[in-house]
Amino acid sequence: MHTQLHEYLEGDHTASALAEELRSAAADWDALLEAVRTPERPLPWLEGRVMHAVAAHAARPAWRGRLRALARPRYAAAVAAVVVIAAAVLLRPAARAPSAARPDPVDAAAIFVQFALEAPGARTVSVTGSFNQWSSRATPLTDVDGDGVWTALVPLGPGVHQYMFVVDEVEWVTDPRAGRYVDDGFGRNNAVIAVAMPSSPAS
Amino acid sequence: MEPDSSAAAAPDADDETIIVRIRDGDAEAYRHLVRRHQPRLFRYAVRMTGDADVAMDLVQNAFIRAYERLDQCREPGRFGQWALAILANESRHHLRRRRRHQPLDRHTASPSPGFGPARQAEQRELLDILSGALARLPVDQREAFLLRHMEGLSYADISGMTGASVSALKQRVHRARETLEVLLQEIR
Repeated sequence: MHTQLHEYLEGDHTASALAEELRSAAADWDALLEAVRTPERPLPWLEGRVMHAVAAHAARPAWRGRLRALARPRYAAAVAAVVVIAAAVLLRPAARAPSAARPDPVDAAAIFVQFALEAPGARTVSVTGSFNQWSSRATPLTDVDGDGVWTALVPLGPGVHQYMFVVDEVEWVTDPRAGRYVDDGFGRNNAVIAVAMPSSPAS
Repeated sequence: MEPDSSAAAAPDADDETIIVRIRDGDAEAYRHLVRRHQPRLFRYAVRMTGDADVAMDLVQNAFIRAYERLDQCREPGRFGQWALAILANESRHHLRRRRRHQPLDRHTASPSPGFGPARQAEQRELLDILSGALARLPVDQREAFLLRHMEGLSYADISGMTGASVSALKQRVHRARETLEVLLQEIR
């Protein structure tokens, strides 16, 4: 296959820019790709089947169910490790995560967690996760002393949260020091942090 | 805060709005996302597997998994591509488990209803030829070719979806085109 045809299919050339002898082949490719892109008829029953499965989760929304499952005692060791890494530095009952839009009574209290990432040379760093609706701008980290370590204290409700760092607003970085990770569906891993409330609040 | 019920009922609300509704507890709003994105996902699964029945199951499972993982959807405005990534992973795993290429002749292709009979027949013929050709491509090449030339995704996006490097993906698409070109020459 001629290199120019590859380049044409990559959008590097228009058909008119191709050598005369390649234009017919280019037209064949156009027809083939049009066939590839032919829409498929909708599957009317699919919606019903999916929604049936969704309804089965409705009383226990899947993401909350998964969080509860992760918080069970059998994960206690992993959970504890993540909490230590995240360095819960201050217990403050009744604090509420800024992004706590979900009506969930367990968010009535929060622990301030320090997130930290070594990113020398970065212009901005933020933490985005399930606790702030994956907003990449809601929770910026700062590097006040210029040592390349960016930090932020973030109030988190009890439970298991997933998060990633965003460097310079475009680069998603998995926390290299997290103790637990889950597949994010994009071929990378979200870090996991567990926040547990002690039985008696600190005074 | 009480959700705005008018937004949940609006099928033309954008994906991000719908996902906010779902996260607020309105599971029924997920129906709009399924309705909106299932043609695209089904087309991908059919082209990948060549088997409409398998494709239906894969798409159904992908939507259910997407719902279960909705808290991991970092860019709700791009739900369709995120769901496609889940489907692509499921399709790849399915095909690797199967470990053999099955004839891609079980699916009855559906040419665009807007075309006249002659054009539909032409498209059907091309689709049949294409299905046979795609079946002969290795799974990785087929996946890269479809994501690039059917979905029109950038190599960077495909890399994010599949975990393969951009250079590896370019090579896969290049090889897929070479193979398909041989087939095209046979029918010219």
